[in-house]
This record gives sequence, structure tokens and C-alpha cells, in this order.
Amino acid sequence: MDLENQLLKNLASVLPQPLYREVENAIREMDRGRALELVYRVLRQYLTSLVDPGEAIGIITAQSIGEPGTQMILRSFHYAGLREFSMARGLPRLIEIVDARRTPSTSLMFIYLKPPHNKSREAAESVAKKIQQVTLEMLSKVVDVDYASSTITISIDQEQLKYRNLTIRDVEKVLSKAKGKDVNITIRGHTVIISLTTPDILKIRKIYEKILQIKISGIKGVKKVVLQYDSKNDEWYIITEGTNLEAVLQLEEVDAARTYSNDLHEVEEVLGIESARALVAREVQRVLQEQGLDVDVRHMYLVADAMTWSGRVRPIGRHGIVGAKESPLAKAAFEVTVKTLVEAAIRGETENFKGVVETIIAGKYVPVGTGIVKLLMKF
Amino acid sequence: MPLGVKEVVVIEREEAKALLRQLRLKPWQLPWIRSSDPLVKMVGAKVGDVVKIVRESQTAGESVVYRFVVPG
Repeated sequence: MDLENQLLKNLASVLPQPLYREVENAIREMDRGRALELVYRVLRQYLTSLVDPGEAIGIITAQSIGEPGTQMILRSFHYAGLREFSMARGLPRLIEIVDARRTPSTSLMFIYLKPPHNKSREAAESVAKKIQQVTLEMLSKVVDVDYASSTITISIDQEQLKYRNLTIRDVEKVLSKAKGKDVNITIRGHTVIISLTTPDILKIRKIYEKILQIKISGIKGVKKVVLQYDSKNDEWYIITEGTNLEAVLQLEEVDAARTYSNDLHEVEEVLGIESARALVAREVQRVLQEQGLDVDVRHMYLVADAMTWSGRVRPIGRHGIVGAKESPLAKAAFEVTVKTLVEAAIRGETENFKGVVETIIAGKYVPVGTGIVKLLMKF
Repeated sequence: MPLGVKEVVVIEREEAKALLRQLRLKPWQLPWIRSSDPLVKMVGAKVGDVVKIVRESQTAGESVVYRFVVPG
């Protein structure tokens, strides 16, 4: 019995956890001989499936993502409708991720909630209301600007106020905090009267536009909020257009371990480089899955690792990973050959012939596969 | 713990040395993490430390990576 336990323990240290658990479950029902046979076969299969030292995994990843990529939607069209966001998908989104664009075409936040807030639509909705940015414009029914007497009259929609759980008091508070020196604000019932001292029409116009954009409640930058139901985990979560992760994570109802946005740089800044890595892998996987393409996650992991090993998110290309290469020949072989070579010459860079590209150019043995092994004879 | 991360710890100097010897690496050959990174701040690691990060992985369940804390 002890021997078997020892065997299982050793097996656990060799096999990855999910595989080990599967074996463990399968063995339970079996007699000793069959169990040993199974363990033996799994172990042999696993060890032969491992990647060999020197395997050119980068090339394999490039091919494995590149070939299915030819079958993706080349241009994405945006959905119209209330429920869906117009989100880039297919190749455009893939390019966005790999190039690590500053701002994605639509930045979304996926906000998961702690129980009990995620269990019912009502509970999730009340959190959503807290998050969505409410401007004065959204609350107002009629806005009237009188240039002759320099006054702006805004009548507030009471139903909107009620729906957003606000009172006229909240509006008053925000406005009195935001007002400047030569502005006078009076509130009569549900009408806000703003009288200005300047007779300048352009100035009044400017102030008018500014006032309507004043944030009354919610989180800055969150433009649109949609509730979604996840039937697999029986929970409600929130998708928002416009992101502000830092502010959202401060809310106590929000589950910070799962909440993320699709903006790589924001995630890098707020959650750290490890989360950015996870996001790259997850987003690439999502894009490919949406198109019905089946690519192993390990390829995504490799791309994500390559983009994030330096502690920052770097694009793949001459401004990022390739541009950071040491070898001038490898850089020149990628893009803008002449400029790269001229710059290398000006700086007096040296070529060490250590990488793959430059050794191919020089016709030497490539440090890949069997070429990576160096042997010295000992007499 | 933020997205994709299960555990973060700073590794003692001695332990880090032993680890690097075992992997036959210089510290800068590990993946880097900037000292301004939220994870680094959370565990209070200093520049030159090695942090151990346990990641979620779809293939391995959990996987362990070491990152070298660099200035920035």
C-alpha cells in the first residue's frame, strides 16, 4: 500500500495537475494491474509529448496562429442594437492586441460582483447604477439659454432622478461645488437657474456646454452599462463601455479578482504585468474561438510571455520585440532594412551571430534543434 | 489577487541564489517585473529581489514563474 502511495506521489510531481487528477479518478475503480498499466501508458505518452530542448517553438506558434488567421474575418462590421456593443472582432482585434495599441477601438470593462450582488438582476442593477456616469444632461428635460439676461434654465426630469436614485439635493451639491466665482445658482423646485455675470455670448455658450457635461454621480468614463447573465455560474455581471478600472475596483461590491478591462495598458497599470499577460492570452484565445478556430492555448501563452517578459506590454514588431533585438542583422531582416543597417553602422553596433536569423544570413549552423547542442571531446 | 494570479511571494536572497544556480541563470535572464508594478508593491519587494508568482494555467492548472524586480 505504501508503495502505491509513493508511486502516486511521484506521479503527481511529474504530471501537470489536471492530468494527474484525471488519472487519479480513473484509477480508483480499477484493479491493481490495470491501474499500473494505465499509469505506465499515461506517463509514457506524457513524456513523449514534452517539447524537446531546442525545439523552435516560436516558429510553431507563428504557424499555428498564422494559418487559421487567414480564415478570419478581415474587416469587422459593427453591430447595431441596444444589447451588443460595437466591438472589434476577428483580425482587426487580433492586430489591436498584438500591436498593443494605446486605446482599443472599444474599451470595455467586465465587472464581476461578489455575492449576494451577483445573484439577482435587481441587485446587479443597483451596482450598475452606481457605476454609470450620470451627467446633468442626462437628468435634464428642457434646457433653455437666455442670452439677453445671461441665464441658463435647466428643468430636471423627476423620473430620471428617481430612476438613478438621486435627489435634487445631490444635483445642488455637485453644482455648488463646481461653480466658479461669477456664477449664481438658484434652485426652485426641480428647476435649476444659473445666472452669469458675463454678457459675452460665446462665453455663455461655452459654460452652457460645460455645465451639461458635469458628472452628478457614477464613475468617470463609464458611458454605457449593460447587465449580462452567465447561466453557467448562475450570476449577473456588468459590461461597461468606457473604462476606469482603478475607480471600479474601489467599490466593495466588485470582485477584484475577476474584474478586468480589455485595455492592455490600463490592466498593466492597475493590475500589473502578470494580469496583462493573462489578458493577452485570454483575448487572443477569445478572438480565435469566436471565429471557430481551434488553436492550442500554449501558443497564446507564448505570445503573451514574449510581449510581457520585460515587465511592460510591448507590441510585436519593429517598435517592440523585434526592435529590442540585439542583432542588427536580425532587425534588418524584419522591416525597413536599409534604415536599420545605416543606424547600426552609425552607432558602431556589433554582430555576435548568436540568434537564428543572423546565423541563417551568415550560413552558419542555426542554434535550433540539434544545432543548439555543443559538444567538446575530452581525451 | 488580480486576474490570472493566484499567489505572489518574495523569495529570500539565499533561496533565490540556490534557485538561480539550479536553473543556471543570471537573475536578469528571468522575466522582469517593474518595481512600480501593483503586485510588487503588494508584497513589498525591492529592486533586485526575485518574486515567485503562481499563475492560473489552462494546461497545467497552476504554473509557477519567477520574475526579477527591475527599477522602473
